[in-house]
Amino acid sequence: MTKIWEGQRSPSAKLMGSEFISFDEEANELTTRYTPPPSFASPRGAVQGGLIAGFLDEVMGGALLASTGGERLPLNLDLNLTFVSMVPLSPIIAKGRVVKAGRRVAFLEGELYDEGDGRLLARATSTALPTPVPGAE
Amino acid sequence: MGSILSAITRPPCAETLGAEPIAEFREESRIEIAFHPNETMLNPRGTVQGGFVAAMLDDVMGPALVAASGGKEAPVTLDLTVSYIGPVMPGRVIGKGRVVSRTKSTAFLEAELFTEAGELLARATSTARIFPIS
Repeated sequence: MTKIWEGQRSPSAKLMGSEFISFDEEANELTTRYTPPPSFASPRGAVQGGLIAGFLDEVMGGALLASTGGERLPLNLDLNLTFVSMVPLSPIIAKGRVVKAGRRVAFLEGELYDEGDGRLLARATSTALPTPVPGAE
Repeated sequence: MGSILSAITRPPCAETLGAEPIAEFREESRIEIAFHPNETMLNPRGTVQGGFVAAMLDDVMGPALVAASGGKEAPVTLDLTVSYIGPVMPGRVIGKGRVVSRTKSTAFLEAELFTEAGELLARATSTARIFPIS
């Protein structure tokens, strides 16, 4: 049975061209590859700032989902982003990590890297409420 | 004013978010733009995914600076902090952005997203670098 964090689990994941790469259970770290669609381009031809948040939100959420065995999705209270380098419209490698998760709150973090040369593109942290996956018990 | 606002809505990201200029208050460095998030942007819970909410907030604070400068300057966002207050559903939402303060090369921006009925959905602040645009 495919684990839901290994597939395109939502319309937004599909739009971002998400592809599961790996989940490290010890580090609670999920690695995903995304392909930004042309519809995400800013006037400069890079991925628009807020839309960069989309990839980080997806991979951090996936990390919580994977670390809880598919049982918990985050309801983000805040998202804090740092834009280190322009994100081109080409494949990116995203890493999402559960810093700490309890029953009532989860602290998440993530980074985006250019797939071609491995340079850091953006970082994020988020405070979230772990909620049951819709449709689960 | 019409030409600055229509130039702002032309990039693909603005089309994707369905940006619709509403009003501009140049002396106060404020702008209002409506957005139309759709079903392709939903998370597994059926609400608009947080990144797209961040994108709408980013896409109303940036134009506040562009419009306030008379189309002569544009911001590049260095950091963005978003607070998620209420669930955002597909449909029409109202963005209000403004320049909080600025120097020659740096600006502090902020924005809020509301339902059409005026309920607050999300807030954001950002630090941006200012560049001249030709």
